[in-house]
Amino acid sequence: MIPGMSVALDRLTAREESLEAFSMDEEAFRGFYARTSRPLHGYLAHIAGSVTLADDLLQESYYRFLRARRPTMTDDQMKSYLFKIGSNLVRDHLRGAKHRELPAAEGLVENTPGAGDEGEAAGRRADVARVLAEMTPRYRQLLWMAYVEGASHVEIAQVVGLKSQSVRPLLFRAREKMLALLKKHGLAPAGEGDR
Amino acid sequence: MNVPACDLEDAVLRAAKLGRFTGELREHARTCALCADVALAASFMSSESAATAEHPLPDGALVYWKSQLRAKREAAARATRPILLVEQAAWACAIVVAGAVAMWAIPALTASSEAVVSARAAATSQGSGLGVGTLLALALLPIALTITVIQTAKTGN
Repeated sequence: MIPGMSVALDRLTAREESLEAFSMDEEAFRGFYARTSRPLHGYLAHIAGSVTLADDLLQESYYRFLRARRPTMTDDQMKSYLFKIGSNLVRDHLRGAKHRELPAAEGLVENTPGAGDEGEAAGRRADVARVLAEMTPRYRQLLWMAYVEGASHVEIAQVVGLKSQSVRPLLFRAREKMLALLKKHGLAPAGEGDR
Repeated sequence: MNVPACDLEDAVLRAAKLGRFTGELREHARTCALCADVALAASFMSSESAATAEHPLPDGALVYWKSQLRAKREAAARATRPILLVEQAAWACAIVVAGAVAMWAIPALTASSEAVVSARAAATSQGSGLGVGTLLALALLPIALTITVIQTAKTGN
């Protein structure tokens, strides 16, 4: 480092100082994190197809969330905003990796504690993860937001980056696809998917 | 695309997620194809969400601290970027100047070495004058001068 550099570090301008400031203090963040980290991690892991990758994306999502200059938001809006950041990160990762169809089942099942158990629940989770792996990330996003997060179509549209009118037909197709795959793998209860 | 809809879809979804169907809703889900699909999808997705439920996550305070650290590092990088640019520009200028000096000096050195060689040849033909030792001394003189100057500078400091 050249001598002038340390001087420059000491003279961080007010602008730089303000860029360093977060949009939330630590106490508020910890509360928000406690409420959102588990759902966000599950979402990222299932869309990206890897628990390890989800760990990295989780940290990155919160960092970007803290750095963002955002208007005053309700808790639900902040959560949607956070999920949107996570969605964008996964999308960028998938573009970078140049493979949209990720082997989600393998990644998740191998990395999930207890997934190797002989229990019925673990087996069922592995089956469902395999089914999800055969779907596109977009369909996985829609299904997760609708059926795990219980998000409204407007919220899903914001997170996924679609028009809210497009959510219903896409969600319908995603659900049909999933049910067809469940039937194909013999996981749908008798009579389901025959329609 | 004509997507089927049902007024009870949301209620069925909530019930399926919580696993709490009232008798009326259960009956409806049996007869309504759309709601049956919704209930099944919700049930499968809920079981899938449990797959990562036990995965250990970092503490919120740690995430906040790491983010702060990274923000400071990035701010420092932003602050020193102009200095690094100037430093790189200075290096580029120095290389250009060194190249120009070399282009000027090489022909001059070649000419002087040719003069030394021809002087030696003349001396040899005359049977007296500069010997090999003298030529070596002449060649080493600039090096000796440089070392002396450096030593003087060091002592001066």
